[in-house]
Amino acid sequence: MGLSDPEIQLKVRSFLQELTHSAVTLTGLKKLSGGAIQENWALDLQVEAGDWAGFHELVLRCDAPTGVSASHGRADEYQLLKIARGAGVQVPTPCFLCQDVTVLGRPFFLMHRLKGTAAGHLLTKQAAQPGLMKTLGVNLARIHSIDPERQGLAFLGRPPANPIDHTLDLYRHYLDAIGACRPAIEFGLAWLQRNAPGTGRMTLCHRDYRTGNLMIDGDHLTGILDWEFAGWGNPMEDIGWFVAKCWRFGAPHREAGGLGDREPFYQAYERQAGLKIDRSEVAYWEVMAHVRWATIACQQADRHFSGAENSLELALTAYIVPELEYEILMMTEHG
Amino acid sequence: MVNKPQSAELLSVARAVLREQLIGELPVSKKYPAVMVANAMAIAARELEQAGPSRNVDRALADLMDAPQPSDRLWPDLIKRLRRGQFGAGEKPTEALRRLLLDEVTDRLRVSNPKILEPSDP
Repeated sequence: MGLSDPEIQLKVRSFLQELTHSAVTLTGLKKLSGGAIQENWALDLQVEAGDWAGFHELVLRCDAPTGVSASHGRADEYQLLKIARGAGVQVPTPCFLCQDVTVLGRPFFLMHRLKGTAAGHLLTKQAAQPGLMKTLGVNLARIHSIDPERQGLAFLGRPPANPIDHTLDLYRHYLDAIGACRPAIEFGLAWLQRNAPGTGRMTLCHRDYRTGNLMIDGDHLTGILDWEFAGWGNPMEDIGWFVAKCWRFGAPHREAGGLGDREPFYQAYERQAGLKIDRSEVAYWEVMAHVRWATIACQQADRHFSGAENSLELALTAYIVPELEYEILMMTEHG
Repeated sequence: MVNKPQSAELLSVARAVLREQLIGELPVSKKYPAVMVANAMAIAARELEQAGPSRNVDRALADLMDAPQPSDRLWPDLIKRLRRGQFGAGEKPTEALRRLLLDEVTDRLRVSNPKILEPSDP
């Protein structure tokens, strides 16, 4: 069952007609590549009358058949997009949410389709753009301006009292749940426990702010995608994730996401947030990034190897783990 | 006549056909899956050629764990000890452990992505 089924398309059209109080036409339906956890479909919507009258280029986003335990449902992600947009973060405008599973079989939402590409291997081949690095710094600072007192995010729960202990325990739990015996990742977890910095600030963290989830058109950002892992945490976690070597897509010398230098990114963030980034602490969060990605990669690979979902992309994720483990061991040489 | 295992060679030549003759002819939307297939074939070929995990790693683990002989059960035992906070900062066994983990990971990297090892392992 899926959007390629004409019967499902009719149901989606009826849902949109009810919501817009208008006749609508759906055209240009096409499954987009990427998205190991969600499915994304491009579609064009013509609304004949009412507040939504006009032509809209949209993306429909729904769950993949199986998911990763830490990811939010579509209703939560829709709400995160609305709140982030309100804080001045560049995101695709959320348009319609459908939680009625009789329509598509799974909850879904529609958002505006952004121009550009998020493909890391293409973006890291373009000339470095200092202006883009500044925009990325400003946008991340705006995400981190959202604190746990913000209304509308109760589904994220209360922030943990000891966020690092909480996070490390969670990763151990994820590994245990799939029966993964990964001593190099465990070595990294033990190192992170021993070297943990103080609690720090507590803000909304995107938790997947990196090349691959940033829609970029030429030299400018059109929007930040994939909010399914967002939650309360230390904002340094997002900074370490963005600059970590594992997210540079074949351009390791460009230390900020394979797109540019760290300093323009850091400085723009600092100006927007009105506080300093402790450069020496970033290294800790880069180890955290590799441990986290290695753990998630084990989970994704397990989705294939457990028989839950037959996917070459997920199966190949298992073969990313050794290089992440190698980096963890290289980065934890001291301490 | 010697019956040499030929599966790795078979995968290698099939992958060359895929890369050199087929991928260029595919529509853009099918190139990424085809590249994944080529990657999977390269990994499988390297795995077939690999002699198997290093016995030195298993021996070093047994020494580190004060076990009389190597055993697969030592890895979960090691994880339990790491979780209990053993192998602390600056301790000699911690450095020995890091080295043996590096050897174990390097064995698997030779299969999954040997390019990572190129600068330090020419």
